[in-house]
Amino acid sequence: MKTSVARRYARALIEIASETGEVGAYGKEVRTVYAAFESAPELYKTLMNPMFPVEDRLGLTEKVSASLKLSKPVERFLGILVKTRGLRLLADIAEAYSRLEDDISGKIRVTVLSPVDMDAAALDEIKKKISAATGKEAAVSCSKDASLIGGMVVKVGNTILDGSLKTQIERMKEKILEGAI
Amino acid sequence: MLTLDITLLYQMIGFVILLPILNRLLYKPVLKLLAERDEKTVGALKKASDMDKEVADGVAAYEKKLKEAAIKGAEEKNRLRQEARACEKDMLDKARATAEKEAARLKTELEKNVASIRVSVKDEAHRLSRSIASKMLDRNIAVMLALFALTLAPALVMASTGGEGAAHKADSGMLWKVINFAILVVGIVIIWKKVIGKLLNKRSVDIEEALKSAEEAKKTAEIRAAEYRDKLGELEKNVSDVLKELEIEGASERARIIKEAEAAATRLMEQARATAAQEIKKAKIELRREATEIASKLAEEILKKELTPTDQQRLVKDNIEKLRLN
Repeated sequence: MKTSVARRYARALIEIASETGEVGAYGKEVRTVYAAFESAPELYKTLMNPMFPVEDRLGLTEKVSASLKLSKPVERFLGILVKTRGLRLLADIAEAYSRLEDDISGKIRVTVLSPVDMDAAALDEIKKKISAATGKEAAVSCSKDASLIGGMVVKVGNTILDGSLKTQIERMKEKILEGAI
Repeated sequence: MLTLDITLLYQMIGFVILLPILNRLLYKPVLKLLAERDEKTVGALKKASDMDKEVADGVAAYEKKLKEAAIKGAEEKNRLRQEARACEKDMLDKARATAEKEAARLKTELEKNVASIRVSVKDEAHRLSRSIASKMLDRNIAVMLALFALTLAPALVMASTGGEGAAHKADSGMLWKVINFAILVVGIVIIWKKVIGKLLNKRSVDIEEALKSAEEAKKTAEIRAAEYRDKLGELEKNVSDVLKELEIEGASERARIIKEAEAAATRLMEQARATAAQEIKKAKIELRREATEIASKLAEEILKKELTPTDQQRLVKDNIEKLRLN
């Protein structure tokens, strides 16, 4: 529910951005605003607090927009979120916008998790394989997670391909507990 | 004119001789018969009254017994139930046996009492039938009158023949003798009609009434006795019904309790088995979980220690080969 509402907000914004050809710029601005609110949670809470008059909160939004040098459409979008109490969905909106942005640009985000650094050849191979499978350009990013023990985890959009030893041990545990082993 | 001669002496001698004879042959038997008749009429009435009282007392006593039997039966039932709950099948059997014994005792006692009362009713009926036979007194009175006439005849004869000696002396004396005899006859007839006849008539009426009363009293007593017998029959039946009902209820209760106890015992056994099985299963799962937890932790530690870069590369390679996006 929450995600679908966020997706609708993101779709509305990206349609406006598509008309002006500023899909990437708006996406960047939305992510910047969210990063600003993350770094200033009191500000974020104040803007979401209905105890404060809407006019005051809208005034504050204008100040934030001016400070972050946001475009007018994004500034108006923030104003709408304040009025409709949709500001609490900003993280989900930013995420949904990025996906829509990737869809439009023909890209797919791929995150690879590994307990040790992945070598470039392996990452390249992953990129090729996913690009071939999806027909989109895979944008591969890599992160380290020591808890995985061994192997790797590949996240493609909402799909997670878990080949870590940690997960294999967990699966084995479950099988033992189920009596399958 | 009346003369005092030897005839008077003869008459007096005849009277003195007749008095003890009549006393022995007539008066005493008559008095005895009268006493017996009184016994048969008044005595019968008294006996009927006594029987009524006895019947009433008996009914009250049996009603009391019936109530006592009901109370006792209810107490017995409660006791049976409590014992059945507390003790089990054996105790219930004993309670049932006790109830049956008590019922049999009461039944026997009741039957005995009923038989005894029936006998007393029969005796009374016999006595009353004897009272009915007192009607035969009519015949006794006739016999008495005949005896009386027979005993009186010699006196009359004697009175009529008393002046034969004087006839030789004078013819005129014969007239006086006839007059004397006539006076005697008239006197006897007058006394007979005025006193003895009336007395006998009154006596006859009294006897008839007494007999009638005795008859009515007998009929009433018989009716009451019949009612009493009916009541006794009902009481017996009621006591029997109460005991039978209690027996049925006791048996039903017993069966139910035993069935419940058996079911409860079965359930308990099943529950115990299920609980034991559950506990065993739980323990097995817990042990398996603990063992698995330990094993997985150990496996993690081993892998962390022994996983080489070559192993990691191989794992990555395998994963890449298996990458499939549907």
